[in-house]
Amino acid sequence: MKINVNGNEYEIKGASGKTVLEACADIGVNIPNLCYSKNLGLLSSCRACVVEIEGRWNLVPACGVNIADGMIIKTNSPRVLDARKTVLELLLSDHELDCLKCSRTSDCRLKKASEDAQCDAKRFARDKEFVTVDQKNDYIRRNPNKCIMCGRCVKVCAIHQQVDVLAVNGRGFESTVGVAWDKELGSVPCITCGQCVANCPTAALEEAQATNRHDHLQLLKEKIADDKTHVIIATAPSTRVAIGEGFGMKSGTNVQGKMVTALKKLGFDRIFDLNLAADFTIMEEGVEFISKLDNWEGEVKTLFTSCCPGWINYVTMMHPDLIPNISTTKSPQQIFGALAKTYYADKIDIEPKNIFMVMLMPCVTKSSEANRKGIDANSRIKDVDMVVTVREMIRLIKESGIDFKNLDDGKYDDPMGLSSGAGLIFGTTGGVTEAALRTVCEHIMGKKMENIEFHDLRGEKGIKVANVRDLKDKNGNNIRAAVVSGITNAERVIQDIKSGYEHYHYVEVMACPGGCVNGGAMPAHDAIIQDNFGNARNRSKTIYNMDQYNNLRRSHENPVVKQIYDEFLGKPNGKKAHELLHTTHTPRKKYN
Amino acid sequence: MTKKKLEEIKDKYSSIVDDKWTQWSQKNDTPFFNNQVRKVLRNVDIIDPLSIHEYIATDGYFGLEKSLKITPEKVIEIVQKSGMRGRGGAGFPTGKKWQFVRESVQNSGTEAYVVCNADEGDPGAFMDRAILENDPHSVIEAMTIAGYAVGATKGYVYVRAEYPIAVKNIRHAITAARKYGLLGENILGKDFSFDLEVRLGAGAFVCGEETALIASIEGKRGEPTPRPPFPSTKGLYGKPTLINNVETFSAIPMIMFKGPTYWNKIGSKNNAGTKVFALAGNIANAGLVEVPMGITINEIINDIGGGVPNGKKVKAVQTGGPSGGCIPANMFDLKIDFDSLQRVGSILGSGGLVVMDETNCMVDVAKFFIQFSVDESCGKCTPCRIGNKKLLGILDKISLGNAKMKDLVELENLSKIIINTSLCGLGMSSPNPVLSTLKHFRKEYVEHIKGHCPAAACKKLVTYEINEKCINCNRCVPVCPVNAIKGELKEDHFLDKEICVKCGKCAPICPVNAIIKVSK
Repeated sequence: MKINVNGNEYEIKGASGKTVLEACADIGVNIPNLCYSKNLGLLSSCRACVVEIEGRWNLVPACGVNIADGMIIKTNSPRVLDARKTVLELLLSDHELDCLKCSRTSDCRLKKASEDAQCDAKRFARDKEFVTVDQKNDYIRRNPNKCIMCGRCVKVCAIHQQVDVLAVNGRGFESTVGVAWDKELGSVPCITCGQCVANCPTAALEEAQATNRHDHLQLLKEKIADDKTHVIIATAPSTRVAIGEGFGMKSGTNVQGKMVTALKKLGFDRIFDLNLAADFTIMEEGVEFISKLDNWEGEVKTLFTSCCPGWINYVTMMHPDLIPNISTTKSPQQIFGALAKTYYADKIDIEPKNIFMVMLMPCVTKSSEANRKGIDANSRIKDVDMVVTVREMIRLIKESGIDFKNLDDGKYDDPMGLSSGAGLIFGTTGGVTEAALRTVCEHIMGKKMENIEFHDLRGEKGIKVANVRDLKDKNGNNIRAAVVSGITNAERVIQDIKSGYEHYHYVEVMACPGGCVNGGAMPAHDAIIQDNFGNARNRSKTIYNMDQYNNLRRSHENPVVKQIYDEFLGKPNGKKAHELLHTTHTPRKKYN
Repeated sequence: MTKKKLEEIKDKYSSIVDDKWTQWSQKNDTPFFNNQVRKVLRNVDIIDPLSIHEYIATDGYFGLEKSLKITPEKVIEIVQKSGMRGRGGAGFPTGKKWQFVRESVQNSGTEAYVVCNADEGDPGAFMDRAILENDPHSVIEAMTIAGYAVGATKGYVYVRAEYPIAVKNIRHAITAARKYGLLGENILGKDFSFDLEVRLGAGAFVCGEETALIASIEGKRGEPTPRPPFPSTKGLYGKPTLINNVETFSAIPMIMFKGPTYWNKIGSKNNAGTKVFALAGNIANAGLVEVPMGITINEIINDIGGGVPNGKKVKAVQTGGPSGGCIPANMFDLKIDFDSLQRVGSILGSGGLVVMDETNCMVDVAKFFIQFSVDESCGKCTPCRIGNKKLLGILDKISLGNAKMKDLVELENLSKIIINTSLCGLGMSSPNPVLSTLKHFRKEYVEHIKGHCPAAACKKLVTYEINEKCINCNRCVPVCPVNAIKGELKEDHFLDKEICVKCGKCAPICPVNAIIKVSK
C-alpha cells in the first residue's frame, strides 16, 4: 500500500488495519500522542495527534484513521503544527506545571510533546482551581492537577482489570477522572495493582508509599548514610530486564550486572537476589500443593497462588470465600525478609532491628504486602522495611550521578545471591507454575523429566491451561493448571471454577496483564506509541532466555536452598518453615 | 389488524377529526397559522394524542400498511425519491442512510436497531416535544416502516426525561399500537415483527450526538466515540443502527401513504419538504412554525412572526442553536435551507430561530451560546473541553472592556482550531456563534475593545443616566438599593454614577422613561 506523507511516497508493508499513527511511526515520522496506547483500544480524546488528510475538511486524529492506498497525509503543515501546539497549550493551561520536581519529568508524554511543539504554557489563562491531592490510598497518589483526562486509567481499570474504580465524573470543563461519588481512591475497592499508574501519560497517578514520613526515599538515603544500619536490598526477578529502559536502553535488555553495580554504588551494604526466595516459595508451595491436592474440604478444590499482592487484595475483598484455597506460602519478598531478619542476621551476627531490608520491585503494591497485618514472622520486627519501585530506583540512580549505561557488571553478594532459573521466571506470567511443576514433578514426586520447559504456560495469553501428564490426582486425572494474568481473566476463571464449568488443581494469578514484567511500577517507555504489552513481551523473552542458559534451572537443586533448609529451616512445610515462610489471609473491607 | 379494520376505524372516527380540524382552523385563522404549511405538525393540537383511533382517522398507519405490501428496497426508494434530509441538523439524506443500514445488515447478517433521537437539547427548540406529545403515533408508524425497510425488529425511542408528557404519551401510544397489532409479532398480519422501547436520557445535550446517544442507551456514560465506524455499520450493541430525528420520522408515514411527491413538490432544490422552526426572541408572535424550505427569513419574521415588537429595529437572527450562527438583518432575503445557511456560516440545525433587535449585544449573544457549550461539553476531547472555556474567558474579557485587538485574533484562531480538531459535532460547531458574530458584527467587537457596548447590554460598559424628561416624581429614589439616586419630590433628581451598581431596577419604574442606559 502506498501512502504519501509530507510530500514523500512510502510503501507500507502489512498495512491492513494500520492506523496513520502507526504507519507514520514505521517510516520514522513521529506524531505526538498522549491518549493512544496499543493495548487499550481507541480513545481519541487528547487530539494531539491530529493530521491533515487530503479530502477531509477537518484535521483528523492519526490514531483513529486507518491508512488507505494513495492517502495523502501531512503531519507538519503549518495548519497541523499550529493545531497541535494549541491543543497542547490548552492542556498545559490548567496543568500543575511543576515539571522539575515531578516524578515523571524524564518520561512525561505531555512534557515531551510540549517541548517538541515549543509550547507557550502561559498562552491561555488558567481557569481551574488547584484541588487537593488524593492521598487516602496508601499506595497510589492521585493528583487531579496533573490529569489531562485522556481516559487511559479508566479504560485499563475497566477492561484489563475489571476493578472499575476509576471513572469520569462531572461534565465538560468540570469533568474529572476520579472515583465514584467523588470519593478518594482509598475508600473504594481499589486493589492498587498500579496498572493505572503504568498507563498514565503524566504523573496524575503515581506510586506512593505508606510510611509515616512523607518522602520514603529520603528515609532510605538516611538509612544508607547511617553506619549503624545494615541496609540490604533484594532485586525482584523482572527488575533486571527493565531498569535499563530508564537509561535509554531497549526494553528487555538484561542489565543484571549493571544493576548490581549501581546498587553497590548507591551504598547498599549487601545486594541479594530475590530469585533465591522464589526458590523457597517453590519448595514450600510445591509441598503444600501436593499435601492439599486430594484433601480439600470445601466445594472448590483448587489451590491459588499467593505471591501477587494485587491478586491477594482482589480475592480477599471480592471472594473471601476462596481464602481457604489461597496458598499460605508467603511471596518471595516476604520469605526473603523473614530469612534476612533471622537466618542471615544470625549468620553475620547483627541484631535484626539493625538490618534495614529493602526490596526493588516492579510493583506498586508490594509495599502494601510488606505492611499487611500478620505478614511478619515476628510481630515486633518488620520483615521488609521498604519497597522501592523500579521507577523510583531509576530516579535515585540518576540523582546520584551514576552513569548506568557504562557500568561494569557486578555480582550478587553471598550468601543469598545464588538462584535458579526457576526463581527467575517468576517475573513473567506462567513462571511460577512452570517453576513449581519442575520441582513438584521431579523433587516431590520423584519423576525425572526430560523436558522442563512448559511452553503451554508461556506467552501473553490471559488464560493458559496445561494438562500435566506426569502428575495425577487420586482419581487418576491429569493435573490441570491454569495460568492467569489480568484481573478480568482471573474473575473469569473464578466464575468458571465456582460454577463447576472448569476444574483446575492449581491456578496462578498475576494481577497485571503479562505478570510482573508488565508491573505497575515498570518504567513507562517513552516510545512514540506506548505499548506496555510489547515491552512486557521483550522483557519476558529475555527472562526465558536467561533461564535457558542458566545451569541451575530447578529450585530444589539450588545449593543455598538446600543449605538453609539443612542448617536452619528443617523440612519444607516443617514447623520452622511454617513459622517463617507461611502466613494466613483475612477478608478485607471493600469500602473504607 | 387488517386494512379493512383500519378503514372501519377511519370511517367511524373521521367525522370527529374533521370537526376538530374545522374548529382548530376557525380558532386559528391568523397570518401566523395561515402562512404556514403544516405537514409534520398536521395533527398537532388537533387530534387526541391518546387516541389511536383519531390518528388512524387522519390516514394513520395506512402508510405502514402500504409499505408492508412492497419490498423493503421499494420503501427505501420512495424515501430517497422524496428528497427527505435528516431534520436533526446535519441534513444527511434519509433514504441514503436507510440504504446504508440495510446494506450493512445484509452484509453482516446480524440484527439491527432503529433509534428515534428525541433528545432535543437546543435551547428554545421544542418541535420534537410537540410532535411526541401531540402525535406520537406518527413516530411509531415511521419507525416500524424503517424497521421493515432496514431489516430491524427492535427500536428504541430515546427521549429526555425532562419531557414527561412526551414520555407518557409515547408510552401510551406504544401500548395502544401493540394492542391493535401495529407493533409486535406479525404486524398487520404480515410476516414482519417489530417492537419499541422507550429509553430516557438525563438531559445531556451531547446525548443528541449519535454515538453518545448509543452509549447512553447502552447504559454507559454519554460520550461520543470516534467515527468511523458509523452507527449504520456498528451502532447500538455493535449492531447496524438507524438513527433518525423525531421530525424526520414524523413525515415518513404520509410520504409512504401519498407517495414521494407529498414531500418533494414543496421546498427548494435539494431541500425538499417543510421545516419546523422554533421562532423565539424579540418577535411579536413566537412559537413553532412550519414552513416550506427555501422561504426567506423576512417572510418568517414579518409574515408569520409579525415583526419585532415595540418599534425596535431588528438586528439579526440566530439559527441552529448553540451550533449555529447569527445572520445580520441585511441578509434577511436569504432563502432558508440546509445549504444556503451553511454558506453564510450558520446551520439550519434542529430549527431554532432566535430574533434579536438593537438592544441585543452580539458579544453577549456569543457568550451565551459558548457558555451553553461549556456547560454541555461531555469533557472527553481537549479542544471542546478546554478550548470552549478559554473562548468564554476571552469573550468575558471583551464584554468587560478589558480586551485588546490581539484577543480578537486569538478568538478567531482558537475557534477555528476547536472546529478542526474536536471529536464530535458538538465541538466541531460550538464556536460557530463566535465566528459568525465576528464575521458579521466585527465592528461591535471592536467597539467593546474601545470601551463601548453599542447595544448597551454589557453591564461593565454602560451607565445609567436621568435625562431631561424627568418629572421629579421621586418614584425611582426608594427603589434604588444603594441610594444612588438623589433628589426630593418636585426637586431635580440626579444619579450618582460612582455609587450606581447598574442593577437596572429604576428604569422600568420611571413613568416617563427618563432613566436610560447609555453606552460609556
